Amino acid sequence: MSNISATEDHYTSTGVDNRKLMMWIFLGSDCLFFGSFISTYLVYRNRSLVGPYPNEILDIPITTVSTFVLLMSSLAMVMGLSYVQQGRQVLGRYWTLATALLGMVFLGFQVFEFTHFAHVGLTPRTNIFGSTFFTMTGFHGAHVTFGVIWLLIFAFSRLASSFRQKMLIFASFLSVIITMAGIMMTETLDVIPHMPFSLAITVTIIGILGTIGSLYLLRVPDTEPEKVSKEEENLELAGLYWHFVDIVWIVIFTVVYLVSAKDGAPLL
Amino acid sequence: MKIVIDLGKMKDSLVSMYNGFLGHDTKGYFRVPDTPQDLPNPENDTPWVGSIKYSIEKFNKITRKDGHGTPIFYVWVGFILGVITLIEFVIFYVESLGVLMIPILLILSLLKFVMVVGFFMHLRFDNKVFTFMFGSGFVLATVISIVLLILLAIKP
Repeated sequence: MSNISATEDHYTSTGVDNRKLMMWIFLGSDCLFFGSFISTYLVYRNRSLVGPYPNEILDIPITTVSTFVLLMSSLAMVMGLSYVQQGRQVLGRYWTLATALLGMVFLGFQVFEFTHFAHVGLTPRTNIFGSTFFTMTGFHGAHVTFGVIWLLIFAFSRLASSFRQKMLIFASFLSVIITMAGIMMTETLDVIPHMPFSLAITVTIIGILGTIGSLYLLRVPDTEPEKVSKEEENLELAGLYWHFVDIVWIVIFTVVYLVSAKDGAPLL
Repeated sequence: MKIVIDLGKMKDSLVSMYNGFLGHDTKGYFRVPDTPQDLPNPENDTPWVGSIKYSIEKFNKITRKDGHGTPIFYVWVGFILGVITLIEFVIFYVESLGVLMIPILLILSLLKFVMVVGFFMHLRFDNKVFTFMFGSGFVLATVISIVLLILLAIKP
């Protein structure tokens, strides 16, 4: 009940914040959205006539790591919200940025997985497993992408007030992208012609230094604690969405990956 | 710079984390039965008198029924979620479980689901109308999925 007295709510007939109620109704309807994809996947399980089949390509260790990354991003989200409620701007900002970063790492895993599947020969039009699998995980990835954009915009516009700190948040985001690009360059040296190894390493190091430097410069608050804790309600909406994306992945990881990873060719 | 490892301090911080998780400073008395000499014997004279009520109280206290969690509480929840994911990963490679594997995995993932929804999304601490709104959507989705699976599993 402490959150009701801390903020000045407008009168509602339900007694709760209208935006939060709308968010929960949306999440309830999103359950039906993902439920339809998951049940479609399960209904068409074991019905592919041509390969690759799940037991040939699904990689459980890597997916476990990416599941863990998404769970930890959920933890970072709730830590950020908790610190924003206390009016501690710097910690709230760091945790929110960490949430977005872990979300981007999860998306990196998904891009890696999809690319690997495409190389092995599984595309949405190969077989019924490919169609149902890519539709479901693709829509989940789109949700994660939207959440990352939401969190970054929130950190940029609400958790920093001076121009300098806004630019630092932008710079940290840009540096992370440069780091990821550098890592990708080191991994694909044999694919890209005339790419010197030193260039790839330099790009990675520039990205890492930029990330560390911009995050270090963000260590001082630039807003009063009361002003920061007013953003609690807004960050909570983003947090609810983010945790929902996480729980959808919990279900997908169990039902799609662990349960059906041993499926082979159908027994006709 | 000289790095000093202070074992006493480490122990104190571990103890304070544990206390923070339990929500109790553990400096008080143990709970002993309250039976003065001049009172008649209690109705049910076993060591387990009131243990259900006591466990419910303890559960409500540990799960922070009256108010929001603290950061250390969320770290504990995240740690437990990570451990459950690890258990699921290990169970996947245990061949001897056979048909039991799928129910165990489903129960573990349901546990993770409830923990994230209850603690991270604050449904445990929040207004019940949110639980109703989200729960109705979730239950509807689950029931429709199960009915669809059963209907399409029946081969004519």
